[in-house]
Amino acid sequence: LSEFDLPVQQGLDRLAQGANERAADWPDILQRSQLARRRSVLVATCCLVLAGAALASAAVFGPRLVPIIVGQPVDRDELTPAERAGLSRISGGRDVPLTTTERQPHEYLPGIEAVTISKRLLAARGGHDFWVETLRARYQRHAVLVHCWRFGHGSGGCEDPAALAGPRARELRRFPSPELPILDFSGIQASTANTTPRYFALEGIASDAVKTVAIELQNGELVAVTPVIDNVYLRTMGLPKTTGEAIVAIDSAGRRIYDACVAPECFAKQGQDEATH
Amino acid sequence: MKGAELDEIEALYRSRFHSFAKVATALLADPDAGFDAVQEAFTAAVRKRRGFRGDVPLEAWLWRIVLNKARDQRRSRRALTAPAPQPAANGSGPADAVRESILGLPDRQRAAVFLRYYADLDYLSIARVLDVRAGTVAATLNAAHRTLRKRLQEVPR
Repeated sequence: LSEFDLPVQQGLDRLAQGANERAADWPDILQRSQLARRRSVLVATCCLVLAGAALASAAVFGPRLVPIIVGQPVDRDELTPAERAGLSRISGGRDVPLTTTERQPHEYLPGIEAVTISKRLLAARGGHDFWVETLRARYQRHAVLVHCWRFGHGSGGCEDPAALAGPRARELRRFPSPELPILDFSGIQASTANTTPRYFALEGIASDAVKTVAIELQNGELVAVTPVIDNVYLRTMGLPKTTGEAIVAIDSAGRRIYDACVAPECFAKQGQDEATH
Repeated sequence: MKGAELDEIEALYRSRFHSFAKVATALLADPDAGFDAVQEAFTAAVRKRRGFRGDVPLEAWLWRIVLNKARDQRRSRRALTAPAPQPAANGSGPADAVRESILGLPDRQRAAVFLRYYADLDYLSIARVLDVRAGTVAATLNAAHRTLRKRLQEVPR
């Protein structure tokens, strides 16, 4: 083509060098087309299976599935028997048969001969278990709340038994009462990269009067509103990036019935109180 | 919706294969990758032929798919390989400088030059492929010529 200078023509010819060595291959295109079609059918089938699974889940919980997952309160009275059964499978307590090895002096009450009489799993969600153990010690019955957690392949632990002798033990004696309608086990962590403490779980046990539990921020906004299901609240997602000001318990009428101050100054005061006891 | 017949696509593929292969090879600077881009482009055309609206000639539609597929592959290759200077095929010199100058043209100028040189498309056909007016194609090719001449004058011989 005369419109291109000779050096440009030479450069263009070099760029397309080797293109003439390949021959047209129409059967290859038809074969690729069929392969692509099979891939599309496979992807569509997988999508249909996933959609079917999602629809089956939605059929159990109806339109309440999303509120349950994202943490909005759901009135249990509105739930159908099937939905209640579904929720029970998620969070309901069930008795655990005891083995003979568990009828031993109790490890959580050192120095006291105690035998586990019954063990009840209140909730097991997101790797966190809440147990109530009924103990017999010195001819009296005691109830102990145990919180355990699991990470990945069997690692984890339970609430430090020694803590039961400290402020948590005093809380346990007061719970449940109008003064202490929730017993909070929320976990707070800070890393070297981010030294601002933040929740990794909002969790605990609540009395019947508590409908939802939430975190109050410095500006008064309530976030991470979490329903209480079978006396347990548990949330590991959608938590604020600070500890907030308070953990708030709300009843069915929407009234705040309890505030637990979690601001740093409250932790400091709590530490002083523990030192004096 | 008009749709395209399979035998029409096949006929254009067979009659214009080397033009498609040259443009894709030049865009990707690799004959194997160029061939693969053409094959993938026509695979897509065969699968999407019912969606051909007929607002441009079938050949222009096929050229668009080939250009897009070659650009996609170039982006993927760039993302996969660390940026490094391209080794000269036959040693460095004026010829390599020309090659680099062509590859350094803006995307639309380069596509217009390739379609004009390798596919021998007229201005109207190039305009349909690039979705611009014919006058714009003339201006684009003029700009490309000017740039290449200027760069060639700068190359030591």
